[in-house]
Amino acid sequence: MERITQIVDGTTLLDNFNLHIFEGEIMGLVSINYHGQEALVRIICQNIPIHYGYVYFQETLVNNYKHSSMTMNRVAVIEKQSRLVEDLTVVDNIFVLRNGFKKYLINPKILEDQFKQFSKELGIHIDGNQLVSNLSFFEKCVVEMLKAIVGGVKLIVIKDISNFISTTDLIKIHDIIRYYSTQGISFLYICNHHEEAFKICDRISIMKNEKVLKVLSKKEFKQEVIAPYTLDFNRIDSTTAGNISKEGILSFQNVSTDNIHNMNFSATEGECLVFLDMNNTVLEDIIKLMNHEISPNSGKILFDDSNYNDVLSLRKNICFIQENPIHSMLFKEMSYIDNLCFLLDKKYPNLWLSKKIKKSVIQEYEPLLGKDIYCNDITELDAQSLYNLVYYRIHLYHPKVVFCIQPFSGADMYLRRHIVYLINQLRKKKITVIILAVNLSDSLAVADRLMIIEHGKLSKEYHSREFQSFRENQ
Amino acid sequence: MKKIEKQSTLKRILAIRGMGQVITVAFGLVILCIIFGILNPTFFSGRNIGNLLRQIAPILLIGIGQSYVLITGNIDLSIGSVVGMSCMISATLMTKGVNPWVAVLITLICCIAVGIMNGELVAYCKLPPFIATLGTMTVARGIAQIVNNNYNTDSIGAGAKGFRDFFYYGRTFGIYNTIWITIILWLIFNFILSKTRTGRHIYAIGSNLEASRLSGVNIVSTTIKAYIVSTFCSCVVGLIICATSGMGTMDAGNVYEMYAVAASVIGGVSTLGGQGILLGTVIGASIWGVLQNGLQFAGAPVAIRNIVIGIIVVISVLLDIIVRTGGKPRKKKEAVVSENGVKA
Repeated sequence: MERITQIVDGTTLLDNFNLHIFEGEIMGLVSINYHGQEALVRIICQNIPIHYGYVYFQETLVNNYKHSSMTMNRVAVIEKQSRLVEDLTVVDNIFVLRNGFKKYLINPKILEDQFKQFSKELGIHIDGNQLVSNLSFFEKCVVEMLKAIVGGVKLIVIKDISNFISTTDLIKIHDIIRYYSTQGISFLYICNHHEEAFKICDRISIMKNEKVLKVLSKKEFKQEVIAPYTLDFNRIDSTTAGNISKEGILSFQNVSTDNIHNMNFSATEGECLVFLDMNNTVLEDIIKLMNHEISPNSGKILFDDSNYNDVLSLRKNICFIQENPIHSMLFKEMSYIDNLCFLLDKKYPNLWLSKKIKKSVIQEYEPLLGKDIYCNDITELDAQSLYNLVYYRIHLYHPKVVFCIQPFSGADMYLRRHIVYLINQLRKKKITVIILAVNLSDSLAVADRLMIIEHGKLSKEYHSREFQSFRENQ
Repeated sequence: MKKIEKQSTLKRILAIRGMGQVITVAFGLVILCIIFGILNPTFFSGRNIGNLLRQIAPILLIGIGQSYVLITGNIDLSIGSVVGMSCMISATLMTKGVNPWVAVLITLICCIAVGIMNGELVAYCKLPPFIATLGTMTVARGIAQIVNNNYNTDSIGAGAKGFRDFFYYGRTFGIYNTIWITIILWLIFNFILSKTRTGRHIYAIGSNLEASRLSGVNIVSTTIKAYIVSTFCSCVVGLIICATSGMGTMDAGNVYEMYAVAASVIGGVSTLGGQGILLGTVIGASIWGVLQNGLQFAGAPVAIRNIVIGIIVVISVLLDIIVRTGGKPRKKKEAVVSENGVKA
């Protein structure tokens, strides 16, 4: 891609953007902020109109500012939103649903044999006749990659894979990427963290505000080289640590479910706990347990020193912040203040009738949220303001415990730092924060304790003073 | 060693898409038959079984069509009206002296045109299938009324003897031709759905439209194919009704769309698309037939029969949604957020 500039509705999405990926290369792309990342992936996949520049694919000019053919390039994108058909089998997805599959009659046995060759090559054991809906995230990723390879794709874009693949599986995915790169397939590895990119990439482009700031070659993969382009995530607000009380608020005593085995922990008031699920198997069970969707097979859960079977108290005192909360937790049709007060009606049933309460909320939160609090159409606001809305909704409601599910997923560097600040704001109000994650991201910048879960069991526990040794072990 | 092989065969059968549900429903069918057999011993008489099969055949045919459409994630509400339209067009043409087989051909073309229109409206014009097929339902019923100036036709007459013999009186190897037609069409459409690329594409667009589009599946043409199968089957049912009654009746096929949905859904075809097999539709249609027949024997009035079937359909859909959404019947495909921020 040479000097690509794309302007849509007066907004510059890419500005004089250059990117060169060689055959068999694993090119990294680390975004300081997200401006232009979506546009870049779209231009790589499809030859859509651009304002200036040239796009070459396999040394052929496929798109330029004079003429864009709108054709698709042989590129596959692997991201959290799977592009597989869940109700079809693995072999159907790989072979039948690919462009250029000529045969009308399908012989599953032949396809299965072909699939076996591929899986043997990779040392992966997946049943080709299994429905895709039964596969894990990792297996789906492998199947998507195989589908791309079988379909003759020359470039695979891997986007934020560590947000949904467990740490253990990420190593396996890296091995597969390396294997196919030696076969001549090129990769664009997009991720939030340079540490992750250092492990797998041959070169790394650092992107900020629609532009490439610097391209690092392998020998430049050093903390001091990248430091000028990244933000400091060391304890942003260390005052919160002193805010922790010794009183236990939530504890698991030998709790077992289908995926959890004898889990023991106790979270205290105002504490921030991070659960790092190395195999991505137990987080869903923890959420379901706290939602009362399932009950423990054995063991005991204590909430505020009483048994957690008091569903009403639990619902009142536990909140969740979903992954990508802008999309999953906000109501676009409601105003900012209505969104902010959304949970509060549990405490004040007359909230929607009385203007007094809303006025008082505005008075209290305007210094924190600024003029955005008066906004009627929240779709006009930027991501940071919407994250404020999500976290201050919880702040206003003041539950005893809040579960944050992958809070840093899909956030750029500035936003991640802001999320750390927002989590600390919750902790200042003595709300216990429990982060559920499959990758560490920036969780350690806010955590008091890190709990490592392996194969459904708590395997290790690190206190904040030991984080450095944990990082070194990684 | 032999035991292991046996287990793996069973596992293989159960692994077939939706087979588990089909086995469960088949078990229910057997229990129903036993109950009705105990209540009335004539239920198992050869004559009743013959009648039952003839009763089930048209429901199975429209069920096949509806299953195709449901698997693509859409619905066809025009089935009943197409049955009526097919019955009226063929009968009117025959009463006007047109060769019966030419009349059949013309009727088929008209019905397939409705199928193409349904597919175009849903896949190309992106109309909600409920609205699109509701519209064509009214149009098709209107055509059924207009072809003979708002009157039922006279008897199709002696000129159509061959047609009536083929679709109504005729037997091959002692079994009515209607049943043979149904079996042959079932075999063909089952083969297409389970063994061909078109079949896979039908499942694919019902399961994940965007992924199918990105995989190069032609959404419009696949949707049209499914709707064509639906109207083709409805057309055949219309012809059978015409041959059976020997005339064209404007309200033929009334509420058949409901029966088609019942046969498909009871047999495990998902209303959310992407899942179901035609073997299930056979069981679903059989349950419908056995219930109608058995309740009739038990002296239940038509209203009660309709209530029972309606309840069974609602329960089947509910179970399907519960199974597919992990026990949360209110869950929609898009995330909905509950009070405490948890996806409901």
